[in-house]
Amino acid sequence: MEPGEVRLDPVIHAQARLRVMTTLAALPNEDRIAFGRLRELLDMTPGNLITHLRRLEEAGYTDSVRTGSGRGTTYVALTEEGRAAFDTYTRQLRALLDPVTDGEGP
Amino acid sequence: MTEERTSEGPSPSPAEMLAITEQQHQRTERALDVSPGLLFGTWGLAWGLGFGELYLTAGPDPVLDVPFRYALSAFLLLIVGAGVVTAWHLAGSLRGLRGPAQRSGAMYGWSWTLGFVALGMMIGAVGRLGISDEVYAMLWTSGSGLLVGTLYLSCGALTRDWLQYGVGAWILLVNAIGAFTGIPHHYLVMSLAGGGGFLLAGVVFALRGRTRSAPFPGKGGVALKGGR
Repeated sequence: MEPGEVRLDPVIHAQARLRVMTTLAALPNEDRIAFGRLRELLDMTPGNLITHLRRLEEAGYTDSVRTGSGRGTTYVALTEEGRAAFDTYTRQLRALLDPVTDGEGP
Repeated sequence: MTEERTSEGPSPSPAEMLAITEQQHQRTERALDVSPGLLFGTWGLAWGLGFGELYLTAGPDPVLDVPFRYALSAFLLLIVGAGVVTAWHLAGSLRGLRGPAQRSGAMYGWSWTLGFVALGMMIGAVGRLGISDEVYAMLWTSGSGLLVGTLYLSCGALTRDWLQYGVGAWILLVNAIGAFTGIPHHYLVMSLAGGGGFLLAGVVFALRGRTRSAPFPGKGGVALKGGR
């Protein structure tokens, strides 16, 4: 593919992580989602989701909060940086596709 | 450009990625959003059938000859049923969420429960003063209309949703004016104008939800935002 000068964020530009980011971006600004429910919405195995979340967390796009002592629940949310990166990514995707779909989409 | 190759194989094209993100966005919204269409439809049915059934069994020459006690029980059963559907739907969409939007959703859900419990207790207390079945029926009918109308009005005000605000105002108006028609007739008013109004609002919400093109990239509203 020939995306020109546009360089898509490699952290987000992978199917699984894009889906994680999309799901988290759909939450209201300050809300968090439990790991289990996030996994349900994504149909991912726990191990798979943990791997991708770790990668996103390393990039500073998500952060996790563990509640309760011992085996508490982990709640995940996008950071401000993550939300901005996601918005940029989707804008870039649209920009890449706009000339191609010309006359078709809105 | 350095392509990131992870376990899920080669990176798809931008078009595929856009489709993936849009699909996931819709899936998330469907799971998290409270559907006003479903809730209005549920309450429209409960009121339409419940008040309709009360009307048909009330008065000196009823269409259906059923004792008031049973007719009222059936009505309350329908209302409780609609309440259970509402609570189940709200709890399902808020499950696993934490934060301000989740909290306000839960608080709003509880205000319905608290309101109806308080209404029931108040009517029970008034009943101890010795009131006729007709007054009892009027209290339940107009009391629940007042409560539901006010709750929709405040939800519409807080979410700046004119349709919900309008539904609340409509219910308040229909209830306040209809009460003057007296007891069997107020049932009919609440069944047709109240229940019918809910059903109409449900249809409008459902159509509005369908025409809404994925507002992307966006922060889908959870809970009270009623979509968009």
